[in-house]
Amino acid sequence: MVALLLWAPLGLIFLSIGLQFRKDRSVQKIGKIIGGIGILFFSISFLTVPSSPSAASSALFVSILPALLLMLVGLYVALFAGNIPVRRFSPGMRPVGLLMFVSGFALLESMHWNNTNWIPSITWEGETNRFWMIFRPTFLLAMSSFLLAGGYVVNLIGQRISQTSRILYLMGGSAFLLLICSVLIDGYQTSADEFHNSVLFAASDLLGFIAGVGLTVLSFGLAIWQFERKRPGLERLSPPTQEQLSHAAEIIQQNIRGGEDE
Amino acid sequence: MSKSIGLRHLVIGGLLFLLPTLVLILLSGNSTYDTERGVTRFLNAFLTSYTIASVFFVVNMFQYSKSRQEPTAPWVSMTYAAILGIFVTFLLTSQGGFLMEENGSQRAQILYNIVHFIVTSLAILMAISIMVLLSFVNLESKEESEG
Repeated sequence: MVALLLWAPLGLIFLSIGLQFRKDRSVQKIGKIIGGIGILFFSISFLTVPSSPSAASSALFVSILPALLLMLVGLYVALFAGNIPVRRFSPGMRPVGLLMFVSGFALLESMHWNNTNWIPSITWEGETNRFWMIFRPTFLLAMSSFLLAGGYVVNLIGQRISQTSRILYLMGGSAFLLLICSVLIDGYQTSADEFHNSVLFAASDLLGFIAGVGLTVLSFGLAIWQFERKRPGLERLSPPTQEQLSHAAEIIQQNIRGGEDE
Repeated sequence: MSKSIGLRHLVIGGLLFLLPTLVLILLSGNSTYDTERGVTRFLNAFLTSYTIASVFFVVNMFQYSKSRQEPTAPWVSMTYAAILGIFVTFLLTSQGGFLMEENGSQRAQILYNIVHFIVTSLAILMAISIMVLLSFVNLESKEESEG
């Protein structure tokens, strides 16, 4: 039953991600439907197979989903309500989007610090959900690390993004401050020391994840490079004749539009 | 005008990336952190992400092979890379193996590693998505920045 109601839906989600890389639009659409079914069945697996230890991950997913959606949808709305050529929302929606993001982040944090009925629970079988003790430290640590490094890199690469750099530093700093608070002050269900251990384990997870994915990308690149270097080189073409150049100039002339000042 | 990113900039960026972790290690003074378990967690995360990402890239290699008139070499070598990850995982999670955590059997450990990987990936992807979206939210239009 666990294989059917928990692992098979997870397999469907992976299959769906794989199908999104196919060129055929109809296959991509089928992939999205399969992914939707997978997510739905995985989400309810904490009800259908509560005896499985992995069902705690499904309970956690359902608990954090409102906060994650608020954050992502909020940023999406704020992005497409901005002063950009591909605007999709009215400029008045920008503060609403930013408020949604802040609310989502506050909701996620309040799950650690408060215990009220209207906040999604992080409890599973009478104890703190063990996957919550993986998710929150990893999320805050990754957020502080990526945003602080991102703020520095972004400041280097462009002239119109000094404001972006400041915001990234600010958010990264806030996430880091929350981490420090969590390792010094007890949460409502977890002690500061317990959380500190979880953060250090999260650092192992984060570095292991980056090293593992990095090595795979390296192997992928090496496999392609090995193959490409064995292929025969392209034949060198002779330079264009005067007649070909005149023909190209004619075509370019025909396709240039615009007034004098352009 | 954009500045070029040199090695010094990359090192500073890398140090900023590691700064939160380093500060938390310094703060850990009297904590009950088990270093051996931390190493096991690192290796499990490394092997699981390597194996799952390799399987994912094997699928992508098929697309690449098609675009190169069906050569088999790239996806065969990527399949070897994925099999290596699976083999090492099975070897090190066997009973009494180095990578066994608090799980009762090898199968339980491997399944736990997969769920652990999904939860960790979700947290990391959320953090990266927030970074990317926040960066674009705060981009100023050309006229605005010139004005």
